[in-house]
Amino acid sequence: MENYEELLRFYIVIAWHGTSERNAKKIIQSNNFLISEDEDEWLGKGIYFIESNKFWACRWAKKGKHKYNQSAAIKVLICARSDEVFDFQKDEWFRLFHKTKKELIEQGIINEKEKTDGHVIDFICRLYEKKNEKSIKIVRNFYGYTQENSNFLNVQVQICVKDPSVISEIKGYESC
Amino acid sequence: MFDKPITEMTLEEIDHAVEKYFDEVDKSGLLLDLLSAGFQLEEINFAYFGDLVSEEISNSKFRAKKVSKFISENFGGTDLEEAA
Repeated sequence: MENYEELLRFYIVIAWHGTSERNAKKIIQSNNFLISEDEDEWLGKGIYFIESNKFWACRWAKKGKHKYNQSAAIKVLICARSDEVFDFQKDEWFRLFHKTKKELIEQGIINEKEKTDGHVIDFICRLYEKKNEKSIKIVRNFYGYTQENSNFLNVQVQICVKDPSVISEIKGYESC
Repeated sequence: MFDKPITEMTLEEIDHAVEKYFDEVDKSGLLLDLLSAGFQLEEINFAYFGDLVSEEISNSKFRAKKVSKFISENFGGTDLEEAA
């Protein structure tokens, strides 16, 4: 374990993408995901996955925006460097997001709307890329659901892949 | 804003860096970055950009095409046209 610090430099996970069975087949055949550019994507433009959890990917496919009747979850391996991940679990990224959004609103640059969060994220990604000449490839966020009579949250970890090159392998799909 | 890796900064340093960025920002560059990040015209307060954006454009009757043309002419760049 002497090289554990080296391991921390990488973010490597299995992730699931919820979609229709038809789309899943197309993606597997083409070995290619299309980046979502919908305006209301809450982590900004990208390809959306759930970290290490097929259930939530299927849930999104069935109950989310598209409500697919025949849904599926595509399993992928994601590999990136930790410094390429805009990670809301880390206080620094969390602070950067909220401080930037606060300044944009308080200085009267943008109008306050919930759906602007994804745009604020993409704005930060753009500034980061200009300054560092390298890009943020993944945005990682947590969302928790409360359960009745329990103090525990049912948590999903959402991943928005900004750069498809971090999808190192598409392993296949499973019906939901 | 990103003079060193974000995870190596204290929260106070992050606050300061963001404030400094907005204090010193070039407004034309900022407008370009906002549009490229996907901000919609109705989300942007054009009054902030003052002289950069003509009264005609900042008027609520503006049209996306007009803004696209204006930005293209003034700032150049194809990504702006897409964003607008």
